[in-house]
Amino acid sequence: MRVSTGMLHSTAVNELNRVWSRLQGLQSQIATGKRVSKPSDDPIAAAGVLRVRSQQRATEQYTRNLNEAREFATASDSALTRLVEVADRVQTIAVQVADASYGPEARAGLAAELDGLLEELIGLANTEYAGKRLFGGYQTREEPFSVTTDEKGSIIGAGLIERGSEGRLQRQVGDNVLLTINLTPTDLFGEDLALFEDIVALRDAALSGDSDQARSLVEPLAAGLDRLNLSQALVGGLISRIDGIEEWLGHLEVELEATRSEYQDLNMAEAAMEYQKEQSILQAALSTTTNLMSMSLVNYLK
Amino acid sequence: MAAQQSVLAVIGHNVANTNTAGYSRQVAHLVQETPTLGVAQDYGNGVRVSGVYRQRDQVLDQELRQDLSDLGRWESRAGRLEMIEGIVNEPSDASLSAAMDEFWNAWSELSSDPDDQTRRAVVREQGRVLTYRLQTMVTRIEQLGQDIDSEIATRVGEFNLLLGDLRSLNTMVKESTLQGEAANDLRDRRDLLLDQLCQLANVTYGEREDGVLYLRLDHTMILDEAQYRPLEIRRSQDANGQRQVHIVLPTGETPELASGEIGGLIELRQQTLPEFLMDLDSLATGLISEVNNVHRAGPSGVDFFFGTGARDIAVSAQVEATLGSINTSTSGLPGDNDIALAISGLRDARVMQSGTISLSDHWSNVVGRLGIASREATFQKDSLTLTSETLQSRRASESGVSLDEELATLLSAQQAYLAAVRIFQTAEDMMDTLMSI
Repeated sequence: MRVSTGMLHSTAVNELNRVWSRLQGLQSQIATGKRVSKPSDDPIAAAGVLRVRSQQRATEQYTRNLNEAREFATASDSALTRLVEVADRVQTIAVQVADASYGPEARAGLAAELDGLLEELIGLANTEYAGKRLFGGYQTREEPFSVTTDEKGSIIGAGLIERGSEGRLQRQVGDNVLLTINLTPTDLFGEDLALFEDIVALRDAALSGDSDQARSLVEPLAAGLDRLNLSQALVGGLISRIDGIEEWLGHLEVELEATRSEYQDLNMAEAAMEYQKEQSILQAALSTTTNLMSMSLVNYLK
Repeated sequence: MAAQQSVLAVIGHNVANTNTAGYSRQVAHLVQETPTLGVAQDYGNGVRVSGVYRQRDQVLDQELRQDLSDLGRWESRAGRLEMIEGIVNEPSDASLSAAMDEFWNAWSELSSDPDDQTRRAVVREQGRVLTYRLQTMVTRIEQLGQDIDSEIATRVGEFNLLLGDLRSLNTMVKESTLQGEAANDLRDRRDLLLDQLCQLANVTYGEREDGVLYLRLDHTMILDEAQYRPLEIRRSQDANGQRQVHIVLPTGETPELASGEIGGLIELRQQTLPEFLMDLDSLATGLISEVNNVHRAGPSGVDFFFGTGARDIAVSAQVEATLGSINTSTSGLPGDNDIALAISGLRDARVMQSGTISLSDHWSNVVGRLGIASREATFQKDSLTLTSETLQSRRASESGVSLDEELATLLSAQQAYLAAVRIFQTAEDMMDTLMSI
């Protein structure tokens, strides 16, 4: 094949350019550690990375939501522990008042204690955590529960801001996975705050010495205590469920990261080897080019 | 001797032009001089130069020009598509998909504490980021479109300049041909311009007997003895107020530019970019309507987003003015979060493509298609570069000057000249000897 002088030069330049181009591509991959930095590097992988990153960001958010839910549940659990104690004490007092053998002074003392316990229950019902009321349903700001008193200041019942108080607080902890995290006034205290009414009735019975009244209240009060125990068990179950979801989200995170890495990350060892190879090609090309181009018949003419 | 001197002249010309672009080596064709016919025998009369010919393979030229035309198209496409990829900036954490994800996350965060003002502020901020990224992308793409516009104008200018030059060369070549000359150097220049022209657009050509080169662009004659039709650019606005660019001829025809740089740029401008902008727009309108539909149901009754598309999407004025107008629930109660949950849930909602894919999926499809187009363009560009280099190499093999070859020819011409001189001297000596008798 006839080779012209210009050909040597252009062939050399073109091939050198190609090697440089490959080297540059490899270098930027190695520097970023990423095989896919733009869609054209691998269109299918790029689209895949987008999807995985979206899921990763969502999972991070779900984990944050889940942690807040756990804190809410834990706070509810603490409040319930004390609520159960109080209801238990009320139960004991009921039995005492039902026993006709107690004298008026003793009974007055019990009545006073019941007043105190009522106030404490209202306080517990109004518990807030991180600025949110735990037991008022959607009424998470203002105190949902209050004590109603007569003109003389004695407690006659409990009041509740009704609008939305039975609302279920939901938290997003997965794609289309909602977790209900609260207990409502009815869950805790029965229809129309029955527990409070019963305690007020018991106090009145203690003051008046009506042991029959007191006796008839023992069962409802026991039911009230059961209700609170059940509520605490439900919260315990909620916390378990939260643990389970947390574990699942943890697994999901690991899997997602593995998938992302597969799509996007560079196999460093492979890339380094490629780079070495191209580098030697470049060196060989450069030296042979210089060698060839300096040869010519001109050197041999006299 | 004279013949050998001519050969020397040609060699000299070749060597001088070894590195000249577009130069085809010339060869002096030596033939026997017409013999004198005698009675008993013919007497040879030596050698003469019958002509100086250009070493050129026309078929090869044609193949190469076709290649250059395709290469021109794919090259302009590959470069610009890579720029679009840069504007899109995916995958990354500062991209449109990241902004969308963070927007849904902000709503989810708000749903966990619907009454919190800080979280509302974050929702508004992420809304701003999202709308800003969309708007910026549109602006940058439109800017790219404008750059392409001026590039088209430049290239058309170049094209017309080349066309004008070819026209003048046609006149000169025709004159030379009439006078019986080969006009090698003029032809070389014409071929060089033709190479450049083919790179710009898909012209077809041929040479007439009188040496005039004629050119066609998509079946329309643009250069001939009498014809001369430079390209014009016509700008217009379509029904949507979008600017359109067309290449027209003075006769009013719009030739189809199937390849060449100008063709590639027109395709980008008229097809690729508008399609991409449309995809962005449908993403934006989907986002605006889906979010607003849910958001409006709350106590403030306002829209969260304002806008008709990607160009003007923004957080609504009411939300900008008052954080409180961000609705988290239909009831408006502090613990209720149904709207916040619903908006956050739009992340996966199938609201695009007649309800088959989500907003994010729509976008990752757009990104994927962009990647495929860019990859294809680069692949074609690389492969055509390779083939055109091969063809150019073959052309150089055919027409290029080889210094060694020329020098070898030089030596042999020198020898022949010396030999001729020698014979002449000997003949002279013989004559002298005869004279001195």
